[in-house]
Amino acid sequence: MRKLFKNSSLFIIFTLCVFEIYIRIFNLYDDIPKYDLLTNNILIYKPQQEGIKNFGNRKELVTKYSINKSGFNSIIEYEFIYNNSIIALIGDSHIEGFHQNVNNSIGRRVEKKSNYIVYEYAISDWNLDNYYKIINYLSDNLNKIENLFIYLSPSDLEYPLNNNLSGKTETNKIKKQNSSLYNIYSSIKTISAFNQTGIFQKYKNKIQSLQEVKPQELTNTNIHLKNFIELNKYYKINNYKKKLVYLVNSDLKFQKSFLEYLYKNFNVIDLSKSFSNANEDVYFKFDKHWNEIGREQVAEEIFRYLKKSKLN
Amino acid sequence: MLFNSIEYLIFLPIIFIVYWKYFNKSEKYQNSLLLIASYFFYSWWDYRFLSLIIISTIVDYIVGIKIHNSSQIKYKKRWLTLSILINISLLGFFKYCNFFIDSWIDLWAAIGYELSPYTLKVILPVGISFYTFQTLSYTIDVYKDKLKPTKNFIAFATYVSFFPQLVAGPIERASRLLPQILKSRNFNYQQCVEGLRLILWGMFKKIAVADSLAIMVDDIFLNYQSLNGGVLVFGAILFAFQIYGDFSGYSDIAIGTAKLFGVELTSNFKFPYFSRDIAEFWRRWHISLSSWFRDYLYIPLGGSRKGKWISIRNIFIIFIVSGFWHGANWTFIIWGLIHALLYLPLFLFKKNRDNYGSIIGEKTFLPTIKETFQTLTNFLLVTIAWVFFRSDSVASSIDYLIRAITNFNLSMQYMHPSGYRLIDYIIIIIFFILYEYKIRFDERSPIKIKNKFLRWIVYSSLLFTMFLFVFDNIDNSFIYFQF
Repeated sequence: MRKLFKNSSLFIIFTLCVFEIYIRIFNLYDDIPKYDLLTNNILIYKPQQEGIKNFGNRKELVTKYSINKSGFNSIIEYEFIYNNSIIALIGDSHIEGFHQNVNNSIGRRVEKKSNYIVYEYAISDWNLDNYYKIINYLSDNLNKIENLFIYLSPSDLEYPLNNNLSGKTETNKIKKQNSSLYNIYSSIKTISAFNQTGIFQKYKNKIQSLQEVKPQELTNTNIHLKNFIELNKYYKINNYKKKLVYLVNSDLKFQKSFLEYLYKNFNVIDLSKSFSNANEDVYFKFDKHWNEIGREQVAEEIFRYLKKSKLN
Repeated sequence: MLFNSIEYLIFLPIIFIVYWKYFNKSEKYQNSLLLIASYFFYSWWDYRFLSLIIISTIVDYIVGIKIHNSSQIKYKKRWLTLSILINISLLGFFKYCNFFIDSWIDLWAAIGYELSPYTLKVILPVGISFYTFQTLSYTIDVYKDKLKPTKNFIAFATYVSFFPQLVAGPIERASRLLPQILKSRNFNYQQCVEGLRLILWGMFKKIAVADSLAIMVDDIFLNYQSLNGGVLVFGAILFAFQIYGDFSGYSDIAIGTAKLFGVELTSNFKFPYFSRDIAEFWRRWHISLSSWFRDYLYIPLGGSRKGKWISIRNIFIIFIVSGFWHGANWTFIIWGLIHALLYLPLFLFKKNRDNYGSIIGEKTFLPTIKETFQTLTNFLLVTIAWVFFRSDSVASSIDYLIRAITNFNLSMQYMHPSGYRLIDYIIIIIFFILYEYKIRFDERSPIKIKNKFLRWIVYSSLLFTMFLFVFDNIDNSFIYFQF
């Protein structure tokens, strides 16, 4: 039995080495950008990082990212020195743009159709509180930004104000990435590649749910509206009402009371009509993010809004 | 507990280490541990249904002794009848109750009478079709004096519930497995290594072949009405590989796991898709079941020794019952009937043993043109029958096949439901066919490479391929668990 254990142990080490070689040769791993914190616990990426992202189990989608000096995935720097009008696009992973090459983001698509420059402020897992924090952070330059487009999804509205103020999620992420375990994780590409298959997802979700801010349970049918109003009040969003445009897909699970309030009180672009009119799927089949067609639809809707508001 | 789960990857090494390190003193200790492990393994799915295995075990343990101790044939027959009644009743109730109720209601509905439906929500206990047949083979063999009953209850219970083959076979004969259980097993390094190789190969078939094709098969069979004939043909072929990869993969894992504990199980699959006719197919597919039906149903009914018409009757009975064993649905019965109709001409023209004891490419590296033609034709016929096996109803099976023919189009406009590349799966299937052809002479030694470094590269590459095809969004329980 000792011989069996000895050979099994050697085999496991051998296999891990072979895996590491195969994964590096076939580039089956993700480069993971490191996080940073702005004032007021705004999570961004550490500036000037570049890398590759893989999606799908067998590299169905490979994209390049590039983090600019402001800490966001963009090939342009956010310097507010341009003569062209500037718009800001704020959101989560849908806007963050890891599912496309950085030079083909939604912002760049809008720029190709118009004379606007688009600054994309988006980080995966950001919620409405983060969106408003970044607006507050930009307050000194808001006079140079013509419109603020915020992409909202239902999960953005499930976090109450008090929980968000703790900044626990953001500081945990920074702590985690500074740990030696994380350094090992990011240097061993096999772990990153395994992680992508989703094989550890249910165990990761269990651990994460113990550590981080939990979304509220939706027993209350007005919780989206309640959180939205609370956050708007806290961040004095009404001051920017004229510039603000919310992008929503009303086919997603928004509570009815919230959507009614939003349409009545704010500028809204509803993506659901244009998505359903598209002849093909707007989402990746192996992922819930917008594909090429979906992103083009979003860019087109933003462009139409800008064109319409200019005529008005 | 599924073989391809993290729980099993933790469970197996623990039991293996404890078995050889602490319970190796005698067969009594070994069997006690195996019994506890087997009951734990089964309870992981649902502990309530453990009672059925225990009932079946106790009944047949007692019946075996009673049959042996009875001096008169009539008493032996009564005890045997009791065993058959209890086991078949358990199987009948849990597996076929709702089928008979629904069929009865449908029959009256066909002649215009509506009966109020009352269907019990009966859960099908995993593995019931396998372990009831296994215990029945024990009592029948004792009755026929082929085997002496054992008084060692622990050994008998271990034989019934031995976890590697408990839930999906191979269906082991008592005359083969029980003597191994009754003897103390000694650690054998080579046996363990062979076991691990079979487990690896079985996992590859399950994960990289069966599971990876499952999502497309489900999608094609669910949406067949909106797909062209070429895609339907593709879907049927994919299912043929899915069910083979799933079931033969499971059998390999079961046989490999048993080897780790010093037990040899029977081979259950011997490259059935390389068969040149249906008779050969049934000597290579689910061998433990087909031989069970041959020995305990076909031969007692007279086999082929009581004239042509009795033989024909017996052939139909065997294949239809075999179909029915697979599931409580008319589709399985029709599947069995199709195989009976395919087998019958071979039997009548005495061609059913033409390829007995040989395999494709026996004396040549490549198969002959005749063998290739025969194999492809046989595969086509088997795949047509699989459409009934896979479909929800007879009507949808017929509709599927009609559309596959009438709407046939070589342009395969099909997109994987999760957006993955189709070519990856075609490459896996081609590699799989070629590799299985290479190892066709010995199903128990799938990886036979002399050079250790090369062998380890092959092992790692198989593991790596599995890793590439791992999904977390499909039900990865074994197809045959539903039987």
